[in-house]
Amino acid sequence: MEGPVMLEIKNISKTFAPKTVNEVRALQQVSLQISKGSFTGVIGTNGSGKSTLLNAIAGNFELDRGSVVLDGQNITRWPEFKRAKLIGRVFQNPFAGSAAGMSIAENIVMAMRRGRGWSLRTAVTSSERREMAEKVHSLKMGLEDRLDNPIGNLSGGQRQALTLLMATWLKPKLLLLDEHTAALDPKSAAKVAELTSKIIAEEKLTALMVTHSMQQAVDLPGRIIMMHRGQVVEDFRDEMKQRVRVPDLIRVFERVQKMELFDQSVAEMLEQQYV
Amino acid sequence: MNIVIGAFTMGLVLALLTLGMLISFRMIRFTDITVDGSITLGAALASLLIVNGWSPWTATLLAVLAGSVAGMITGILYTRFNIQMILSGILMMTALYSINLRIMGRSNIPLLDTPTVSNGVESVLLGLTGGATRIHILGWPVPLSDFSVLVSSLLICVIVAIALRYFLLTHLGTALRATGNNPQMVRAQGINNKSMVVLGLALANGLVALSGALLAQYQGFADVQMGIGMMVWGLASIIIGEALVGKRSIGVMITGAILGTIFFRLLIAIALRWGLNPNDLKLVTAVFVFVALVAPYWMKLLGKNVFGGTRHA
Amino acid sequence: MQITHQKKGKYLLIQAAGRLDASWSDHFADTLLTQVRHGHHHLVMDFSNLSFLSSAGIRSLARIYKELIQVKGGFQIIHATSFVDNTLKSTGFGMWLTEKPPADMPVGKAAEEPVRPGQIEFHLLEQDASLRLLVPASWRPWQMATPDRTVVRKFGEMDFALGIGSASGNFEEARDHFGEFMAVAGNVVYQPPKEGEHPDFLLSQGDFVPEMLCLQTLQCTGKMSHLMRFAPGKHTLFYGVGEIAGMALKQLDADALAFVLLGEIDGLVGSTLIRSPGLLTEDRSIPYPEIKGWVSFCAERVYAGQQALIFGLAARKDAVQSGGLLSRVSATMGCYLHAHATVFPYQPLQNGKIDLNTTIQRFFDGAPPVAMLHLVEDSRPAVGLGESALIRGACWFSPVNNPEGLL
Repeated sequence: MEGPVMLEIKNISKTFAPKTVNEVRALQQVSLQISKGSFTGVIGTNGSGKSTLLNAIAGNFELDRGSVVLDGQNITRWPEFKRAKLIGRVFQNPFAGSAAGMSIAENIVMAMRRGRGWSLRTAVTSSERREMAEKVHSLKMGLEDRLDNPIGNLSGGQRQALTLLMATWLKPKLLLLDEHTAALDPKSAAKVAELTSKIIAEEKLTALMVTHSMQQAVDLPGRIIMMHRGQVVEDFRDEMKQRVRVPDLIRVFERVQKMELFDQSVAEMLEQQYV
Repeated sequence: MNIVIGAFTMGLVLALLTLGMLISFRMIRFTDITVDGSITLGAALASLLIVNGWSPWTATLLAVLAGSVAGMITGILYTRFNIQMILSGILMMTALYSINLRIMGRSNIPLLDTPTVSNGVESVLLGLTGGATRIHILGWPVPLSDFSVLVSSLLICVIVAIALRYFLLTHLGTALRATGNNPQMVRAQGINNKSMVVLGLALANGLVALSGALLAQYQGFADVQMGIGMMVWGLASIIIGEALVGKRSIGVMITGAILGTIFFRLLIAIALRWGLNPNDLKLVTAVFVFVALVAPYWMKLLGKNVFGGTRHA
Repeated sequence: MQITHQKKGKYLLIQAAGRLDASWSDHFADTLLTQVRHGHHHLVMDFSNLSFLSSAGIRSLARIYKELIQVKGGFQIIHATSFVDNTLKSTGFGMWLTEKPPADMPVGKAAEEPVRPGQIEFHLLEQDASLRLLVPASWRPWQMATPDRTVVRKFGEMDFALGIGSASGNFEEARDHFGEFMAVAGNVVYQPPKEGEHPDFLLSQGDFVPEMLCLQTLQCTGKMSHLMRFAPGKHTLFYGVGEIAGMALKQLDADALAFVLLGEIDGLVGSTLIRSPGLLTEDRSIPYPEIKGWVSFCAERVYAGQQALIFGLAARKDAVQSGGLLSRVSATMGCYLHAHATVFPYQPLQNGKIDLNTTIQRFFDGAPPVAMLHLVEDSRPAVGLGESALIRGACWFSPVNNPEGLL
């Protein structure tokens, strides 16, 4: 059963480089309701606006129109850093979510205080270090003994696992995952994907995941949203989601593309040919 | 011996500038050209106030605040008005040139027989030596006034270094350092990376102005031209410091910046002693920084060719 | 392992060298099944250089054997090494082994295949067989569907039909479900009018005769008189559906005919109803872009490599006055056509003169159909996709003895 609404997007639109030859209508009147505790996959072709949708929620840019309400708060005009108090985020680039030159502990300590204001107390204390070691141990990567190593020395998979841990350290109202396993090698990708499901299930998080892997989307417990040309073209939920398989998703993509190629000339041709 | 004392004192005073630049160039990774203007600002304001009878401590403190404001404005130009990094610095530096002239009223303020921040130390030392105005270090006679300047610079430098290290390890300091590393990540942690840049530049230029204020008191004058090339000197000092001790931790980096500056001043003192034309000093420094910047790359290429690319850079 | 093949008379001689084990068995089976697909149904396998055969290898041989049996072909193994010979005999597949190559296989170097423009053969099935045409419902786009425009039809073994209809029993239920259908030899396939839905089907079994509520139907009753087999030659790689119909018209020298076409797809071009005409509230024309919500168009040549079962009616161009329920197709062949195609996963077809009912039954007994299309010829200049085409297959046809309804 679906819980109360956690995220409500109403009619958001965004056009990049408007009124130029490079104009991109990245989001066109997108509306979406995400219920509390649901895990939703967002799929779509390249340039379909799926990442733009996540960026719009995270506040990377200002919207042309529409509103974003998270947990009852209208965050439409909030800057990105302010939204981060409510939103945890993992990026596609495994290097984007942590500060390479700083130690694992220093990276984590920022996540431990996400949205809590800034103090002039020493950041990494022994009690915090204990808490970190405990949680990092759960990754089973042996990183708990290397908390003072620069995070830049770690592999992409390790960094992504840590970023995920950081994004969920303080239970976010919403977790945004932007193809966060796409840039990893297959083994690390599987590990991070497994970790993602585990954390989301244990913490009962509300999550929105962009993925290019239809299989990954189908395997999700929640719902699948399909985007094309800045619009939501399909929304599989509840029983529909239980039934849907990868070939079904491919068929929807084909249908959408078919629709697009059905132009005036096809209509005229069919008028003569179709009986 | 006087040359060595002089180089050490100069090194300690300018180490404050280097520490400031350590914040802007290394922590928030901001190529800040304001430095050339804000060091003069510190010197000019402190000199003016001292000449007008203010306590050297108050004068120095106000100079620091002025420097911070200058840094803040550079930061705001960059973050709020989206002006390029270098251009924001150039704009502020250029503006400061006129401001400094306004403050000083002329191009030079001599500080003759005015109190300085080292007066307190000097009187303590006088008490210790029983009124002798010269002391002997390793058999060389050194004027007590020079020695007291050295001691007070050392004290200020050590206090600033400790405070800076503490600050950089606090939550706020950690956020500041992360801003230079990965601003996107910082935003995702709920920190306003723009505020961090402004804060970093304020701190950096505050330290630079402190350095300027002390420099004017040590040299005995403030000059509107004194800032030219200071940024490159500071950069050279940072590079030397990193070569000397590395950059494993915050403490090491701070120590490196101080040692680097002193070492650099010693090198300059020796070079001048050997007959280097003072006018060529800035060219030599620029060439040195150039070499220091490209050398790691050359070494890498060389290492690849010689060792077959098996070593890590 | 190395696999070479050589055409020798009606046989294809396969020479396999190396080890036929788990790591090679899939490759071996795929290579040979491709040959089967190309119409080689009699294989002779020379295993004189095959040193090892594992159970996985035997399984791949069995897979090939099963396919060949379906099309009344087969294979034999000659010159087996003692290891392979023992393995096959002890596992109970000794019947595949023969001492010598078949007597009718030419020895020595095979002669060059004669260059043929294409391979077409006609078989006469029944001299005087013909079909009677009935058009009990003749909906035209975009008329509103009403109960009096529909008719219930039963489709038995002698019936061939295409049109628009619903499997629902009464009009009220059928209203939302009118879509393309076709009936061949007692089997009805119909496409629910919804994008992405698989076609459904009804098969006659025992006393059950499939029944449709038809909004539009062209129904033929009778027997097929001719069979045409076609396969690619050196210069002809595929055959357009209109082209095949044209050849059949020429062969019969008739004004109109109906045909059942079964073959490997080169590419289909067509459209499908995605919204039931029952939902129209008046007779009207549907303009662009609203039309996009009513019919889909394939947008590219689709279903290559799969098998199509097509039923269609064709009429000679110069015999037709208005076109009626036929649309003009194929500029070169110049005939009018109305055809619906059902797409099945690939199954090989037996060579030679084959029976319509038993062949089609095999398809309906196998994997379910994946799609259904109303074939159209996309004649748009430059961007047009052309007409649907098949690579190889069989076409049963018969003249329509009362073509007036079409012309």
